[in-house]
Amino acid sequence: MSEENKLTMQDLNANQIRWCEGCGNFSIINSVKKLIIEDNLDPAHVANVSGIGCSSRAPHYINTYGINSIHGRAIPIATGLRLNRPDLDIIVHSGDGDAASIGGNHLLHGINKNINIVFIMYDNGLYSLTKSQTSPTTPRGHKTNTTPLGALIEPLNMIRFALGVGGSFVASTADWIPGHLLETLKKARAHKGFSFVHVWQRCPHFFPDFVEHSRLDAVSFLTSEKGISVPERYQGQTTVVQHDPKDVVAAFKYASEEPIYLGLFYQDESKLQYDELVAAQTASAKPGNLNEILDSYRI
Amino acid sequence: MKTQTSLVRFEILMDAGDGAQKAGDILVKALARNGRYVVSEPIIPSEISPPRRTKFSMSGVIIRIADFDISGIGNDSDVILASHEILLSRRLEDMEYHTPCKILLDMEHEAKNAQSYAQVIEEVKAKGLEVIPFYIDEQTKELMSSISRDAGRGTGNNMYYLGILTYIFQIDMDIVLAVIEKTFGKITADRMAQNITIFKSGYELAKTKIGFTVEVEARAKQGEDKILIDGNTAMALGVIDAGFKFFAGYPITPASSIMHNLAKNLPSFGGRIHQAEDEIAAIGAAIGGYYGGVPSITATSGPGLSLKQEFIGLAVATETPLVVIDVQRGGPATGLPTRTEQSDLLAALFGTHGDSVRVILSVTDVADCFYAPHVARYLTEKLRVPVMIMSDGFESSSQTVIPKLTPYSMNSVEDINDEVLARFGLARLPEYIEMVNENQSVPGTPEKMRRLTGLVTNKEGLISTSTVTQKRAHKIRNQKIHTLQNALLEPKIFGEKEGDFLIVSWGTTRGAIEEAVIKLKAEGVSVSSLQLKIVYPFPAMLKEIFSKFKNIVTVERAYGDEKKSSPITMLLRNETLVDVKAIIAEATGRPVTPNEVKAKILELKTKGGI
Ligand SMILES: Cc1ncc(C[n+]2csc(CCOP(=O)(O)OP(=O)(O)O)c2C)c(N)n1
Ligand code: SF4
Ligand SMILES: [Mg+2]
Repeated sequence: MSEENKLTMQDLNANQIRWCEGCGNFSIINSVKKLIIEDNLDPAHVANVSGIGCSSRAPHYINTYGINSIHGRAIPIATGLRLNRPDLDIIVHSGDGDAASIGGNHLLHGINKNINIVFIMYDNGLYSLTKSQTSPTTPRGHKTNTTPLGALIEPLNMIRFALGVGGSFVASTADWIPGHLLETLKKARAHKGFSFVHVWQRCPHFFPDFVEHSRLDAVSFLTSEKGISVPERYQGQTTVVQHDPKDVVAAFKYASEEPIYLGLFYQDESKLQYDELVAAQTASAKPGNLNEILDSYRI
Repeated sequence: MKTQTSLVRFEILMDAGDGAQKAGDILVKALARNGRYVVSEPIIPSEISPPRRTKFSMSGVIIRIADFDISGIGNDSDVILASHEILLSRRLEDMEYHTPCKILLDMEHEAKNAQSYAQVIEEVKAKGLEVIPFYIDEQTKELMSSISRDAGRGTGNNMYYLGILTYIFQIDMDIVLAVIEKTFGKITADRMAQNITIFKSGYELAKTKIGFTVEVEARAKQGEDKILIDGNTAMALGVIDAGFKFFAGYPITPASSIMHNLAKNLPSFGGRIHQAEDEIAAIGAAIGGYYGGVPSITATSGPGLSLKQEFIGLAVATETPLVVIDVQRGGPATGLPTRTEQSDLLAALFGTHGDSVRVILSVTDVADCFYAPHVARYLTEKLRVPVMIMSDGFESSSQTVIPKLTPYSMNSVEDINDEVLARFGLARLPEYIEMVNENQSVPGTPEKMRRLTGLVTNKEGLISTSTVTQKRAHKIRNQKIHTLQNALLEPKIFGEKEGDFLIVSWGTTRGAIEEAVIKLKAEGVSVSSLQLKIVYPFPAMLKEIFSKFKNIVTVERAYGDEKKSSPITMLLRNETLVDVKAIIAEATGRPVTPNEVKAKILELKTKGGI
């Protein structure tokens, strides 16, 4: 594209955004828009697919193709779309309830099948659209409308989950560090296969203190040459670890440590992609003739 | 003793894995080549390899032969051949036999189970049925056991039984031999010769020791230019011919074999197959496929239909085309997985929350299975409303001999063949049909980007919570169904257009009902029938048609009683305000039979109508 008709952020604006002021989701979709611009994508060849939740409204606010579908089921739609449309960029937007609770089974199989999509998990530690209920990632003891005495169990660790079910690209980032978020999305898009991008997302309305974001040393970073760089602001201010994204054992270790680690935990570029395998099988099938098939049923 | 008849039904019962169905296939093909009309239905055990000589291992095949065109499996068997007494006793529990019925019982196991045999034979005689015990000679037995030792399975008895039945039903021996050769094409010449020896010994036994024959005149075209095909196979091939390029499914009986067939064949036509993690994911993927502009379809049964409901609602709201095949089985819950029922109609039509519009297509025979996907694709792409194709457990596996189907490789919906539309009682739809969300396009189309949503939207596809928008959306969705209703042709009535009784039904009950109508008319009863293929919406002229009959009665393999209308009865009453009554509203797991229908009509007639 030449300079004058280069896509702008304005071009990618769609419907009037209806999130609360200060919501971390703004930053996440801004990064998605920047990804589209900086990676020179044709918006008509981008499909944003989501389930239901505050976060799942994202497709409405980005001027590409998209479906805001039903709760927890974005991955099935994205899978069907990917199997039939290898030409599209498919980005799935899913909340912690959407991804880890009602859609947990699809997430497991999407990751395991390594379907080529960018999956963004908006983790705000609870159900927000339905007005504060416990989700699988709610910290133990946090009070919500369904757990007025505090959430009963320890939260699900989504990084360990994604690693455990064979994720080929597992990263974590935070909405309040947009540079890191954008770089993560770019690496995720460049990765062929299921890119699991966990985003710590602020919900000032229902859970402002879900993750500590005001202090620089409240987050630590994993980095490496192939990984995601550490934003300048954080350099020298917090823990930074050189981590080889091929080292799954270390990835599990960092996923289990406090303070939370951001960065690329794991990447396996050699993992086979289900969508490609299906396409290859179809491509290599001998052309069929229905008349001949019907003849084989002759008496 | 020779019996000449126009219709006869028999069955072979063997332990699972012993090849009853193979023998059945050979018989059916030979009978058809020999100019008889034939329908067959397998008897399939619920478990994979149940223990032998138990009730659970009952496997077999029911075959119905006629000198006129039939599509149903009929009532009761006239001849039953059982490989041992336990299967026989189990099968008699189903009460699908005529009295009298000739029962050929293999006595091979008698020596070791004398008491059990004696008991069952007593039972059978008490029922007024005739038992004809037979013994396979030692030499043949030795040959059979050597074959089964080598092959590591089966008993070889099936070839012997084939011989017996070939004689009894007077099938041309050369034709049977030709079919055997074609079926076992890959075995060695020696093995083939052994099989034929066994077959011929069975034939000799029947001729010399059993002695009776049942002959059905060969009135159908002789020769090999016909196909023997079951409903699910025809449906899968229809899916291919209708131009679907994506199938997503999750295994479930009795829908699975559609997926098996497509897994084998669809890639050869440039299509893709996806075995999803569950039925929800399968239908979601089908919606994703159609959203991407690729004709997509899913198939399921029973519990799978329940799981798919929320996504069907999404397709309704987003106006994404979608076709769902529902091969109905006994419900609720796991119900009767391997048996047939028609209880899903209301779930298929109304099963999601909110006002949900759908088109319900049903198949009435195996050829319909092949053409239903074409019509479904046409309707879903034109109306952007989900289309449900209703088949059932019986149709899925029942095999019928039919003239070879003619594929016509539908590329776009405009290619639809008018005859195929007419087969389902339909004319072409208007060019323009108003949508809730106008001007949708497929991802990749420049300048037309739009986000679909399950939320209520206006014409531009934008979310709106205003009452006006919601009212408009409901109205337009329902108008699409009314548009379809306007394109429905006057339904074909089987029989006179007026009279005492009109039997209304849908789906695979057609064969049984039409046979009953023929028999009843021969006895002077004024009765006609009307089989709905597009079950919803109903043709607008239904009320007018009903007004010409004194009694409108329904037949359905679904539950109903004095207080609860069966599903089709409920819908028809609501649509026409006519006092429609169910004469058969029972879900038994087995198909409706002509005698059942006939008996009910006669009962009504003696009571002086309703
Ligand atoms: C089948 C179904 N069950 C429940 C709901 C209600 N519901 C809507 S959003 C939501 C939870 C959303 O939480 P999350 O996925 O974390 O997204 P967030 O709103 O926090 O971004 C629930 C339970 C629904 N829409 N559909
Ligand atoms: S409730 Fe929370 S997640 Fe939802 S828009 Fe408001 S701040 Fe964002
Ligand atoms: Mg949430």
